[in-house]
Amino acid sequence: MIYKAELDFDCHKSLSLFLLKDVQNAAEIREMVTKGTLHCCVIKPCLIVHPFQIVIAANKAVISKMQDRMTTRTLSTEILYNLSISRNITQSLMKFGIGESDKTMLVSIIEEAGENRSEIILSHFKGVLCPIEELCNFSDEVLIKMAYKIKDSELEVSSLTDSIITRIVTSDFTSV
Amino acid sequence: MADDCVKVGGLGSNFKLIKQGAEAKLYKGIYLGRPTIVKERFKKSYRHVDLDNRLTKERMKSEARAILKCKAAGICTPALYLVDFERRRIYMEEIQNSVTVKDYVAQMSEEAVNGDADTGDLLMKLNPIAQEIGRVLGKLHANNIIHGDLTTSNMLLVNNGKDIPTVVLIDFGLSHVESSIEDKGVDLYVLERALISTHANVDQLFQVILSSYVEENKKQCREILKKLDEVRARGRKRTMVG
Ligand SMILES: Nc1ncnc2c1ncn2[C@@H]1O[C@H](COP(=O)(O)OP(=O)(O)OP(=O)(O)O)[C@@H](O)[C@H]1O
Ligand SMILES: [Mg+2]
Repeated sequence: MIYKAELDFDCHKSLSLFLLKDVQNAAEIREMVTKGTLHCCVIKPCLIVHPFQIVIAANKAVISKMQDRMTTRTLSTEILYNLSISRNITQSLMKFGIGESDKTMLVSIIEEAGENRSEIILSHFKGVLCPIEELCNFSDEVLIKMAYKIKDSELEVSSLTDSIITRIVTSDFTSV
Repeated sequence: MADDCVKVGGLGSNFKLIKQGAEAKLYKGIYLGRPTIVKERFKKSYRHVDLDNRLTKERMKSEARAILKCKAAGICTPALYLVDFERRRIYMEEIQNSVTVKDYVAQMSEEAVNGDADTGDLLMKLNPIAQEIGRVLGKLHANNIIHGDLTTSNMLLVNNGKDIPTVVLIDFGLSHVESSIEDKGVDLYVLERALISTHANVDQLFQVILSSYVEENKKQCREILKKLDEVRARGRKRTMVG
């Protein structure tokens, strides 16, 4: 049920991921996250193929924060921005963030070592928690390949996840 | 044990130094839960700080860009986990159960000597690998990727359960994207020299590599081979003069 990963050693932070469905209050959640009263990043699952994709984007975000070189204002927007290979902030947030009437979403929570905020954060979501393994039922490979510009010939030598994460960590200085 | 255990910032004690090259230190360990190689380019005290930083950043960008461009072109390269200019590190997938072409050829040569096999047998054994290398390099150049340091220690072989192992290219710090015939000719020349100097017993493999290279890069191959001859002549002249 719970997916938790330790991020870069220097940052002393971890990432927890939760998959929620039948969420009734997406608009409210979105507002709280935007206003900064709910500290998490809420992601559209259709563009996520594997939790590791978010781990890589979140890790890049906490390192940018540590080095004082974030492109956006908050960790939450930085993760969405990192997930996208476009350098356009507004478009990236729209693409990977949830819409007002979305029912399924991935909630990612960054915590300091020893912290435990997940329960409190999740209590704001009016929805059903489901195993992270069910993510594959919601991810849309066709959309994903389009979003990351991945052709089938590439997938003969690389997994989809590897192709995506390599793009995520190079998107500041490459174009595909 | 103690001296190869290092605690470099951010790497933690699970990372071990595996190689110290001329430009970089390579560490191996677990990062974000995955087997990872960290390539850290160290500061060169004889270079001005700004120049050194700029050069390092350029090398790291070239390396990361080429790794991505190779994937898109259908060439095996390690996945990237982080490119960190401030800490001068690239974190990449560790290609597990791999051996460099250099070590593999050395190992096969030794086995051949010990087992009384002649060079013919050895060449026959290495032939399919040379063909695969040629195919990969043909694809590389057909996509205008110049590696810049094509040696047998920058190619890894991975057993994939099939007859022919997978060839994975690494070490792209000197690479660039360029369509010029000259650069492709030089790239091949570097490989030929590397084969002659480190694997003199099987330097005929270069011909095998070239013939499958040609198959994969039909469009430009005639000009490139002509250029290779020119570069060789220049090389000979240089050694005669110098
Ligand atoms: N992703 C990887 N997976 C497994 N082994 C690797 C990987 N990257 C590098 N290595 C090992 O480390 C060695 C050195 O790596 P690399 O060539 O990138 O560094 P370098 O400093 O440029 O070395 P050199 O000066 O010998 O060219 C390789 O020959 C290989 O044995
Ligand atoms: Mg090398």
